[in-house]
Amino acid sequence: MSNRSPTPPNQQPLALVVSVGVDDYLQQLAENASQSLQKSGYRVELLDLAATNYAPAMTEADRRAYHTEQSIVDPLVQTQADSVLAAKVLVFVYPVIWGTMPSLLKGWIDRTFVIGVALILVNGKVKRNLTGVNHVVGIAVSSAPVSPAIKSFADQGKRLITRTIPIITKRRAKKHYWHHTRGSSDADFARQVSAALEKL
Amino acid sequence: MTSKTLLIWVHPVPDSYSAALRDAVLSAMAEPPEVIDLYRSGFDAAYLAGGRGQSQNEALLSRHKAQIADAEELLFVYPTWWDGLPAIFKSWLEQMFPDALEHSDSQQQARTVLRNIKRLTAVTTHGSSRWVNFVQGQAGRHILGKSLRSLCANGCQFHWIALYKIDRLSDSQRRNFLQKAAKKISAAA
Repeated sequence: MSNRSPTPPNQQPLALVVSVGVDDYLQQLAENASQSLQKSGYRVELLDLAATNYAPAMTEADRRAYHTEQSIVDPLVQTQADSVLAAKVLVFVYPVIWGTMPSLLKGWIDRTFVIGVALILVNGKVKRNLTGVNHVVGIAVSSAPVSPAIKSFADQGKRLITRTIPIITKRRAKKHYWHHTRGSSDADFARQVSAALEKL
Repeated sequence: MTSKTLLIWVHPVPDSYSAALRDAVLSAMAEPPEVIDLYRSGFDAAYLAGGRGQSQNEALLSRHKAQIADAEELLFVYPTWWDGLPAIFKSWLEQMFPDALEHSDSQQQARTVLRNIKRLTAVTTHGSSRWVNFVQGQAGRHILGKSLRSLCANGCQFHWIALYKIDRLSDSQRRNFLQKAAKKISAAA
């Protein structure tokens, strides 16, 4: 039997769960993810963009600051960027809208993952900066199967999470992505995701 | 014969390179198009938060739908950020045509508005290279060239005019692209 005492909460690695909880099911998935990560030993910050009146459009002030040393001008964005910089795990929970992540989440990424947070400039070259992030997780939910007549993809957001964001995280950070279409297997999907996150 | 074009410009900074790109495109068009400046139109992108924005946007979106229904070409000038559309642009699509890819009734409503659109043109800039964007999946290109196009008139054409690695180009290379974009727009008219 181990004699080790549990890690104090303020020393536990941080998992940041960013969700767009537009309905009960998505809110439940985000809550489940938070609980599973806590069981895995993480300190969790849950940010629900739909519940916090988040303004997703990059503003003129945001954009003018983008290429300067002080690349964030909004204190709320700065607080969230500090959480991103401290996180070991990034989790995105969202509804698929127009074949990809909703504008609220895309806007959060646009405004938060700026130079100095997601990337840094070294001798004029862009380098990854989220080197503490070991896991990137996407949990995407479609409300209905995409019509075969629409030659789109189930979720373009998958590529952002599994291809683009890993460019800025620790090399060989693990990518986890689950997509679900609403229906009779809602509860099964929620259980499977929770079980997988508990092993993270 | 020239088609009736609606130009939708999306950038928060009025004196940006994107504004120069918009002006270059406008100068190449035989007929001055109607222009929607999305950032300065009063559009609220934050509609998902408890329904906020939807009623505020209602009259504006009705006007935009009427403009689209009256056009034959939609020309978008915007920056690509994180491999996709800026959030305000994505939010505009979501609110103009809600659930258009998911539910057949909504799809039909979107098609009613877009039924006259015979050409879609995207003029955009990227911070990363063409190769990196290809690997990333080109989400912005797909949402316009596949998803939106599927709701337009049968046989709708899609033109993609893109500048890559914008932050690593010289001023003269950027100026060259303004001319190149204008030339392509002029040739397509």
